Amino acid sequence: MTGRLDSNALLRFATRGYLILFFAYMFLPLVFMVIAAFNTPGIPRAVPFEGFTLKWFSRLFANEPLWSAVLNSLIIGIGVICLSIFLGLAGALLLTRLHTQARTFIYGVLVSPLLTPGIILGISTLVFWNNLGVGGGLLLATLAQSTFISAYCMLLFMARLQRFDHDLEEAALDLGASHQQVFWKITLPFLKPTVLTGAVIAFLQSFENFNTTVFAIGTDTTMTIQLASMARLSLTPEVNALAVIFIGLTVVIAILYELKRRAERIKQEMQREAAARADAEMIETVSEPAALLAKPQRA
Amino acid sequence: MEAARDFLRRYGGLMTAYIFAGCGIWMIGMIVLPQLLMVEKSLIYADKAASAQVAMTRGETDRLFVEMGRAESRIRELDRQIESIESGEGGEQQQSTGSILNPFASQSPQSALSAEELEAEMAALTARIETIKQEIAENDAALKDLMVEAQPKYGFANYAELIANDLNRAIFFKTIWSSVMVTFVALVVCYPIAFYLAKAAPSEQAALLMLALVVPYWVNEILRTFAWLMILSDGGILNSALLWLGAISEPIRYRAGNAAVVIGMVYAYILFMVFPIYNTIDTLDRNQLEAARDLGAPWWRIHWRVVIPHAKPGIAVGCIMTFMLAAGSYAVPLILGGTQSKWFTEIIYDNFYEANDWGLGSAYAFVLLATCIVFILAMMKLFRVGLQDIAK
Repeated sequence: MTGRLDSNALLRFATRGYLILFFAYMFLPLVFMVIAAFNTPGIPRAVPFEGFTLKWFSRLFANEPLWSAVLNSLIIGIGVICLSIFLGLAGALLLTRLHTQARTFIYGVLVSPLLTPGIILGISTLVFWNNLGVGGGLLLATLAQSTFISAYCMLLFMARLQRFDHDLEEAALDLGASHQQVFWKITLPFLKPTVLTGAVIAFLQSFENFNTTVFAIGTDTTMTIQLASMARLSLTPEVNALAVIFIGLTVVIAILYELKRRAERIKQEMQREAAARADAEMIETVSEPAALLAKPQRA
Repeated sequence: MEAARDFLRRYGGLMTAYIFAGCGIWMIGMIVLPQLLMVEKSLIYADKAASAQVAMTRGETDRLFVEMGRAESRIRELDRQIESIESGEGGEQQQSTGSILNPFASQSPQSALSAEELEAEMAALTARIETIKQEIAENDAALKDLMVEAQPKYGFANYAELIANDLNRAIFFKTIWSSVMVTFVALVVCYPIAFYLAKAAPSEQAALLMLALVVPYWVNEILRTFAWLMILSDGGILNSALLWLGAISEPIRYRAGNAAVVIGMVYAYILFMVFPIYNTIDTLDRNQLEAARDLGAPWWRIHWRVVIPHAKPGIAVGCIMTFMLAAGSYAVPLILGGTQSKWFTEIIYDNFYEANDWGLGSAYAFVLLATCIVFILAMMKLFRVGLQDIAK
């Protein structure tokens, strides 16, 4: 009996130790990054700390090539959002309604870019468009990235459409609505949260993409490409300063997300109480998109 | 056909056109055709020896033309000299033109060459021009054959090159082996975390830890890798710490071998291993664990017989994603790798942008793609999961 208890305690101790080690592994590199951004030496170094400085930030803001590369990244990102939502939605609508054998095949083809190494997507796009006389650049980078980012959007739309009551469309059609009206008034409003999520994910994926872009971009640059050459060739703490900005943004977003999650949980509990009191027929989940939104994060 | 009618009825003409056109463009124009054209490109090769020979022959012909031009102008000049000798005029003019054309030949203009000698030289030059013309004709004939030989052709030469090239072949196998290592290490590191998050942690803590896990991934991959460059470089944090502790007496050169790249990749792709495994373990009924425990199974047997079999699809997906990302990674080896630890993707890049040999680059890229497909199929077979489970 005591032996069992001891081993349980040991296990718990080991688990705790492992968790600490694991999260140290995850976060210490970022901590070093941040420290080095404020350290005076000209090579990024966290230890020894020789003095506090903000000069790497002012250098960063004066780095013209980097900011024009950021502009390129934004242009590509917006292009990728438009294209991926457009293609992803088409794919999701096709696959949710298709019940023939072709479905598996089409699904396989559309999802395959997610399982393909990024450089292959970049190379194949480059070779394809080069045959048509189009060289590498922002356009090709946008197309190459959209190849796989559309698949992310499609999977998001498909997950959302699974919870869609297709009878609503039928009912609207029976009541004399045109197809356009059905799409704009019923289907799209239901998909709206996913459009937003998809746009955010598409942008983040595009902004951070390196492997695909590096082949398709030609002589242009994006922020990530510029960053890679900075990290490789001119080792200065400017890179760290940029990292601090990114990490800061991330932490702020994470905190906001956590606050939102908590608020939603409270709201959800209140709703649950209200639901218990209300008559079951009174709850119309579909006419209440907020209730669908507030699905529990964890089952 | 019936499916198309169903779409028309439900979505109307405009929407149906959008759906089919969108999927068509995406599928054919962005996925299938580009891949096929890449494969086509990989089958096109130019015989390098033949193209070198073409260049050489062309150079030789050019040289012959120059020589012929010189000879012809010399003949014209000789003609003039002969004429002037025959008309009895002096060597004054001959001296000036001669010195321009060939200052060494006319050191003694006073002792003007006799007409016979000039005629002899002219005859020799004429003969030389004839042979040059012949040589040029021969060259042109040879060039025609060589051009045909040097023309891009279909064949497997680009693939044969990879097999024949010892260095690149070694790099290829090293890349595959290292990617398997990365996958294995990531699996071992991530499984306990995924299990803890899904089943052991109190739900509030799990949500926070989940967030903590995602946060580093919102930071750019290049920046994350750069952080490891600071840690693993020769004068980096890890070496400083170990030196300070007295554990080592000399800095370890992590970046010389593969160590730095493998460590950086495990860090970069860990999330792609955690989430699939977490998702499958999350669906495991807690009662099954309780039952196993109540029946007296030790913790390791619970994992071996209950949790892992249930998590199989997640493990397969995690391994596939991690392997694919590692084998296809270009950023991590670029930043963390030293000169000795080239990655296969770097070779592909060099083929495209340094050697400018797109055929060879495409062939290498296709080999990489094929390797990933083989790995995916092997994993699906090993864990008995379908494509539908993978793309979740």
